[in-house]
Amino acid sequence: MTTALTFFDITLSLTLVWLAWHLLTGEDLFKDVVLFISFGLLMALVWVRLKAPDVALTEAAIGAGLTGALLLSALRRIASITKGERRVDYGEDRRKSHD
Amino acid sequence: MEKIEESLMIERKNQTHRIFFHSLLLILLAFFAFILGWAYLSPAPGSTGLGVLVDAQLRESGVENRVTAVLLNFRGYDTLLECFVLFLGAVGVWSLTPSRLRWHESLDSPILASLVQLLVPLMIIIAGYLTWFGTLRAGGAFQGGTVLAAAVVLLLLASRSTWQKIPLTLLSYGLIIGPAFFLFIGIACLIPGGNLLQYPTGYNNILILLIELVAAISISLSLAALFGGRRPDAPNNTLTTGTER
Repeated sequence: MTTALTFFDITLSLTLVWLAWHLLTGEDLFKDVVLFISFGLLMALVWVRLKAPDVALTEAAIGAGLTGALLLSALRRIASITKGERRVDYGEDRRKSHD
Repeated sequence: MEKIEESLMIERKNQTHRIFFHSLLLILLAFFAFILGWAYLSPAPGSTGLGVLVDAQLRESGVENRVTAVLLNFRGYDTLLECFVLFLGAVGVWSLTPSRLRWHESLDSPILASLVQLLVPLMIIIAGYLTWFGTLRAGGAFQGGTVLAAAVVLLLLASRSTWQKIPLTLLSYGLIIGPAFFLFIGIACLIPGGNLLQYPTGYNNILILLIELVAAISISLSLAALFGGRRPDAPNNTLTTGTER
């Protein structure tokens, strides 16, 4: 059981670092935000493993959920303000698929 | 021909910037990973943390959850200020000029609409449960408030005009009632001769529960106000620069 948990912890830590790297260096802002949300959810798991369920609840609700929603809506606004730039091209695509 | 060379130059410059940024990031991440790993693997010093101290005093706090005892009783002052910080955040957002872009009335998605119908009542129950149970287990005003805020955000996504339909006075009073009630209780504690936020013995539990319930409402409205973006009564004419449909 302990071996399995240690393995789980190591996988979790490595995944977090991998996610952090990709969300910070990624070119596609939408993808970065999605990675950020998954980072927050995994971080909540880390807090559970550290026996801090209160912090885990807050991390999942605020860190992943609400901040994710705020970032997505900010991204939408950026996309509609700055036209002609690279990041906007994909924003236009997204809007088209929405309408 | 010159143009091509110029763009090649810019491309190369960007490439250098990217490599520089990436290596800086790599060093920073490795540094953090090292510190965390070191803290995790190094043998714990003689200290057992503050947990023992809190457990010894838990009976006096009026609640059974350590974290809530610290947040609402032992260090209630910090939480009081935190509530005001959130309130100021919402006020700050309302003070800004609304962004000049088209306002999506709604996404008009039947899936979203039915999902909202299903989820929002459930989320309200969960928010109440989390807030109430914060005195016994993991949970509390912030967690409950955030779930409630998420419910409001879902409502806003389904129909933007929901935000405009809420009466401004209700929203404003809702935003301030949590911090104000907390402060009122804190000052009222002075009357029987105690210190600020020193709840009178015997009334601990009920006072903490009341503060948490009222604070949860204000917290959820503050967070929702951050997502809502602007005062509900902000003039609409600033938003017509986009292609309004």
